[in-house]
Amino acid sequence: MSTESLFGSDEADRRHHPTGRDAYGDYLDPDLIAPCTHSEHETVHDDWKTLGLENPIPTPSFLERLELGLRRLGAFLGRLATSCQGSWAIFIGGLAAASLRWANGLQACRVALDAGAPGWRDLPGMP
Amino acid sequence: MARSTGDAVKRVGLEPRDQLPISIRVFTDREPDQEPGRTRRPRLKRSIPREALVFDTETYPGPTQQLMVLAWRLYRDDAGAIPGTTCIEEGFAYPDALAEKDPDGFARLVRFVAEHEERAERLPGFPGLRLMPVSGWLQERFFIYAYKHRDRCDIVVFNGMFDLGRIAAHWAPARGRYRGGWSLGFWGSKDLEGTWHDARFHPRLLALPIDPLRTLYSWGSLAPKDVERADATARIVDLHTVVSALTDRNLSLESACRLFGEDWTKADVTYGEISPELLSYALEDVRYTAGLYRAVHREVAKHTGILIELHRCYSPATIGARYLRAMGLLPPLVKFGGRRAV
Repeated sequence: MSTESLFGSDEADRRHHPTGRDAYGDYLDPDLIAPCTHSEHETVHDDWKTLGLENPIPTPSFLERLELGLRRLGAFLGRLATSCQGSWAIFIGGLAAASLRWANGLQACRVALDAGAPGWRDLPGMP
Repeated sequence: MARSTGDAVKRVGLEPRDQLPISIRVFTDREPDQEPGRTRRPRLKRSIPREALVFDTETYPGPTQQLMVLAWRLYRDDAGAIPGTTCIEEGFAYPDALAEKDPDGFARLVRFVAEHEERAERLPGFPGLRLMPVSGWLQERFFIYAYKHRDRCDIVVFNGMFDLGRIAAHWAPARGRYRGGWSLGFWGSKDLEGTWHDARFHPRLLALPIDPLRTLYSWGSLAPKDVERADATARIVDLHTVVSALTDRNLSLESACRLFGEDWTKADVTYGEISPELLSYALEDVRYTAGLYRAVHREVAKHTGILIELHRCYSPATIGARYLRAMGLLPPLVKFGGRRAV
């Protein structure tokens, strides 16, 4: 059964993971999938390359993986918003901007933790 | 012929006239199809660049006019969109030594970027106004988009030779087909004796001005001892040249914008020092350069059936020549000898 691309342009022939892979090649969220065409898939990955998100450094903690995933999701949603119409475009664009804000908030938390509690990644129970 | 005409005049009972308007129909030779036996011409593929890096430089006063700040925008467009529609990045690049040479100007630049971060016109979910040293910009933006993406990215400038000269770190006289022009080095370093060494796998840019309006560009060879030899096409779109090709007039950016429907009046700013007004002006300059780029693409799209690539659009004759080629007419040099058809 064919699936329409999320961008609404054509039949999807790619299954894009909007949060991508980590430095070890594992998907950050294997279940989160967006159907799209080959050229849309390329465009999203080109966007990630421009933003320096395509090849991440190893990030052992969940907070850092979440921050990376949100940045990638924001860029993906921003691109998706260009193909949406009306209130959907506003909402998807707003969600993209919110994803970036949340990622920036997480980055600030991480910097504060690194300064105040450098061993926070090794705390018991830390994912 | 005269006898038959006279007979015809006698038949209809008219007096012959001294002058007779005539028309001549000329049958020209069609250029043969490339592949023998092929009846249909290959379908026209309009080359539409997918990315565009638009930039402009502001300089210090003085004879050398050294780089003060560079403003840029990066566009990546969805399939079918007019090139230069979707901006994904906007920012400034500054000379690496700016913090030491002009600490007050550098502080003003950093403050301006922090205060106007959200002013950047880009897709939601993409970072705001960027700030990076020019060496980083040359490597991460100019090298990638001007050279590595040269098959799909336009480098858009207005009076390109001036801006490219500001960001070049080295120059030498060009050789070969570009003799009389310059070989510009952007990536590399000087050794202790002052000899320039190009970075590995980073070519020179060859530039040959043929008049004040037109410059030919090409990337140089990557062969170590032959850096001045032309190798790959440089997709540099100088809007000053393109506008002159479309209008046959020598226009400034401001008047070209006005002519193509982008109503813009340049702000009256003091040049020569980094100020919030100058930085706003630099961003606006790039914004309108990108607007002119879009408008020019819309204008070129009206010429259906021919392929006009903006980086190869040098004069009004370029457009006429494309039409003649689409009609299948051979260029005189090919038809009458001297050059083979390509």
